[in-house]
Amino acid sequence: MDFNLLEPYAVVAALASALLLLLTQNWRLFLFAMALQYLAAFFLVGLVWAPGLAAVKVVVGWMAVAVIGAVKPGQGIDFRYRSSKMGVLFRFIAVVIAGLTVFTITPLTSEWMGIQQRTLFPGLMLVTSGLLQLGLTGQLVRRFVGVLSVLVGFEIIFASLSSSVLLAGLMGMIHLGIALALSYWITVDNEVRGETPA
Amino acid sequence: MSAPVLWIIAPLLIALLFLLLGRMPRVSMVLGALFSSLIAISVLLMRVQFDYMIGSTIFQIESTFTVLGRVFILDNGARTFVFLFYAISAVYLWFGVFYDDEPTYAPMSLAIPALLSAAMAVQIRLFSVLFVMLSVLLCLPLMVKTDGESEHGEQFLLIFTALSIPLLLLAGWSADMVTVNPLDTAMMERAILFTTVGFTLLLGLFPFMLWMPLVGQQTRPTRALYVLLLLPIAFSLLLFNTSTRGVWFREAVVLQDWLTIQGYCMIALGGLWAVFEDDLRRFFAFGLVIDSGFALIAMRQAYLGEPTLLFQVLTIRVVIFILFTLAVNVLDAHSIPLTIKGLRGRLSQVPVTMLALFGVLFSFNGIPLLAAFSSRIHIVDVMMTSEGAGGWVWILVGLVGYFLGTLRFLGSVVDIRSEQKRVFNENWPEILFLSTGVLLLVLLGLFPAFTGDLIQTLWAGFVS
Repeated sequence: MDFNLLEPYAVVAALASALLLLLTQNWRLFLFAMALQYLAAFFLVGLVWAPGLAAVKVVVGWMAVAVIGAVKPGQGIDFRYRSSKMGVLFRFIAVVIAGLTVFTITPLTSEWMGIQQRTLFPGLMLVTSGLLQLGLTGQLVRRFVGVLSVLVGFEIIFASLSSSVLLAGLMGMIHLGIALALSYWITVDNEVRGETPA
Repeated sequence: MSAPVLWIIAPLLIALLFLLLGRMPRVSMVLGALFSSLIAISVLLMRVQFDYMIGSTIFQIESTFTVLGRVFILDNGARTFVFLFYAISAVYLWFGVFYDDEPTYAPMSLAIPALLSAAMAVQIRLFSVLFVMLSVLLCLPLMVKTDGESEHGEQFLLIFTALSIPLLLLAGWSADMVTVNPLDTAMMERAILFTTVGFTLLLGLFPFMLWMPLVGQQTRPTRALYVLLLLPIAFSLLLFNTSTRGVWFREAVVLQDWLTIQGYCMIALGGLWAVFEDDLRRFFAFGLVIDSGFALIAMRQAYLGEPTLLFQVLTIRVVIFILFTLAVNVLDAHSIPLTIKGLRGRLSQVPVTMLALFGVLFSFNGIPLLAAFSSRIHIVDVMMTSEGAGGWVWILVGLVGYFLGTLRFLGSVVDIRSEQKRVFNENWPEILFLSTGVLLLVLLGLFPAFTGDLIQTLWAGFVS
């Protein structure tokens, strides 16, 4: 598989997932965006790592999505925004501004860290969107998914600097652990409120 | 057989087995406490790379273990922190046996010290933070309450630790690059920058320290205090370990200033918030914030080649925490609310517990003749010499604030107008353990030179 040919699509997928995760109110679309994020990470990490090792990203990532998808947030821990359409517009503008900022600082950061721009830009974009998730909402699900986005974005960047089986394995365990923690929280909340999982 | 297999992998496997005992929490707690105690004792007694004879067979415990191309090393110097982690777990598991038999407690309390030991043992220190994150993830089941309330303290702990991963990995990578090219000053600056911001998040320093009081308040006392004791100590030791990066790192002015300013902020803000605190557990957690501030200033001295002060602060913190946990558990067992209102007039009901409680709180204040006094006065002395009187004001603000808060609790406890029944509620084992703890606090305060030497001996291997 030629990862170089797929690189532009992977970048678009990363940007689309960043945008979707911040804007969507639909649970299935939200999970799809997460899955897309991990797929993009696989193709972008595959540019610098062996395909087998890069595949860990997508395998573990999709497992994490499955773990989160197995439970559906109920009334207590909701993932939907409690705001009007203006709120959606505000978040869209926030993502656009963040995207422009990342686009502007990428060349400088690339020079500073010695990393190619083609992996740095989508990586930084995911990190920024994750931080936006953390900053814009206090909802548990979005906070945790924000953390996962930050880590995925960072892994895309860090792949250019270090390649290790142990690193890939431990990061995979961390992604799964965060997903398990989130689903555990949601399950406990649903049980207390007498709601059945989806 | 190697030390990492004995003290990291074996406990992890035992923890997995304990998960099967989920329906028998009391059995798993007792077994977990026994195993933790055994491991702690074995770490204390068994020397690494030393010939042992069983019958005619000679065997030796190796210090290294290789997995996935990475080496884990636990030598004789490492035994100090491995012992500390398991000893803390053992003590808290015994507390759990009597006061809080939660099914996940035993397996997690075996796995967490194993992972923290792995974090300290992994070569290419870069990966330490990943093991730390895994141990934080294992702390979550201990802290999640089953009443459906959202726990912000636990969430903040997880989020801050996760956000520190990228920064600390980049810091480690930058430091490795400096090893390759020792003249790369730009890379040195990056390593220092990433380290300071990363450890600010990981250690929960200003402005990220509020997870400590939140965890203290929201979780069951034994488990909350276990997490609040073990994690900050392990993180502090990780920070101390970064000093091995080289002189360029240890003596960097930015790093020294960061430690000093963060230390002052933690002490002053911890004290200021504590003045108005009505919840005993949150109040104690603010004491931890203050103590973390002192530990940071002691860390600065440790970087300059005097680590004894840091180890003294950390060791005394362990004693204070254990005694506080016992006192709080006794109060909790007697259904005494852990608030300033709930404690009103309780002196006549639980006098020894109250003595222990205020011994602990006044120790955190650094009151003379109690445990933390000598280390606190030493730190203030050092800072006065190097920084002038400016720093003393910050420390004074923090300590006065905490002292006033302690007096508020004391005033409530001795309130004779209260209508509480005067029934003596403590049993003999509780009185015995609490009295021993108070005696230890006083001895640590009365004989600082002797206890200082003892602590230095305990930590000598780690420093080497």
